[in-house]
Amino acid sequence: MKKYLIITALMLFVPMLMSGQSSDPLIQKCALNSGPNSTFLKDFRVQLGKGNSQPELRVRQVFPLSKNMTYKFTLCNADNSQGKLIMKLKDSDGSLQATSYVSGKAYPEINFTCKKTGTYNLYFDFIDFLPGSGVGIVSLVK
Amino acid sequence: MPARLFIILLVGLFLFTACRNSSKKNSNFVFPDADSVPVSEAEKLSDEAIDDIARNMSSPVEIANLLQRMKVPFSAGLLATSIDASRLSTSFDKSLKLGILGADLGYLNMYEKTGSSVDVLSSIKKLADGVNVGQFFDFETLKRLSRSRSDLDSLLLISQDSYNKIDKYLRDKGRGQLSALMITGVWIEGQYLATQMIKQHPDTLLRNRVGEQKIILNDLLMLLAPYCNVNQQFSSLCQDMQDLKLKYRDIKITFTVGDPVTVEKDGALVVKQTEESRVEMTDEQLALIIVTTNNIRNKLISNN
Repeated sequence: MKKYLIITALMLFVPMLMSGQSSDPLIQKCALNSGPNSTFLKDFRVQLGKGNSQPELRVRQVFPLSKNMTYKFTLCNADNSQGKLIMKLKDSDGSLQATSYVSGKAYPEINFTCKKTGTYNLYFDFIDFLPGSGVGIVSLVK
Repeated sequence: MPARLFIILLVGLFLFTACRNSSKKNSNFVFPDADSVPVSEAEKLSDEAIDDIARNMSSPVEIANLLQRMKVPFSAGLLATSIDASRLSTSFDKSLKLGILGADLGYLNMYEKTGSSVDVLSSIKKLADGVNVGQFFDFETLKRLSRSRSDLDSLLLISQDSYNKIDKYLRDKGRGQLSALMITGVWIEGQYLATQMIKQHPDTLLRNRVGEQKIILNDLLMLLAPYCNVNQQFSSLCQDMQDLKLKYRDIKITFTVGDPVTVEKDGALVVKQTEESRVEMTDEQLALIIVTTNNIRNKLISNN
């Protein structure tokens, strides 16, 4: 009887303790893989269903960028994601500053050297508006 | 009989864990995700505009990064060590100081002063518990990482992530005033570190960074504005921040236009902006900003 109770207690408490220690594993993995010379700033978790073709990527987030800082945008996809995550970076006037999808090729990383301090818009979606699950990580290059 | 009891417990346990983590474990996509705002909704909701402003605050590690690049040595004397988390009684004080200590934590971590950060972490934990957001602060893991000094990347990631989650949770739960206070605390402490350092290290990079805060300060005031008449503490804070805004009034930020230059390097895209922002700020204007920032910050941390 005692043996069963110990096993049950272990099964009950170990997952509870473990669950308190980590956030989304995809975020952890992506952030820690963004390179030794970068410092994590922010994650943008993106999960979308199938979308209709439209001129703009569906998810918008804002993020401040500062002059003379180099930022790294790392894009990672969940193992079961059907679509591949892409992003665009636009300044507050809507002018395109960077895109991870160039001539049909999706890049997993953009290094952006900022020369103009301000609020920027990050747009995320999956190629061809497919359903998908991924994360965009912004880190600061040291 | 024991075997039967064991099976019952096992089934109960299965149901408990399955329900508890149902949203996380579900492999189907959830749309819309709370952290992902579709464009059409983001444009029309004023709450989303507030979210935008809240997210538009620079991380304190950026200031620390800048100081490191300038080879400015670490200065323990600048930390808000006088904050006694156990003496604070109002949510206002707790949230504001949560932000101030968060900026200090970023500063300590970036300079790898991880041993010293354990004390700051203990205070942060008390404050976070005090405003019922302690569940987002993985104190034990952070303390272990700080003590071991082995995994700085994980330490920075979890620290930053904890603050991001607290901020998001507070805003999602309609406690935006506490989020605004936390963000204000982070900002004022980062501004304090930068303006104190500039006195000994009058570097152009740092000077420009202080000048550019004119943009951020305007946003911060918009974030605080809905709460300025909530109580005397808010009213006083808003007044102080307005005073600082006044010191920034005649600083000019101009822009030159240009197209970004993109190249491919080692499988990644490397983009450099040619468009540029410039700050025009006199020594007198800077001196007034330094003094005003110092007064506000010291008033906030002495008000225990």
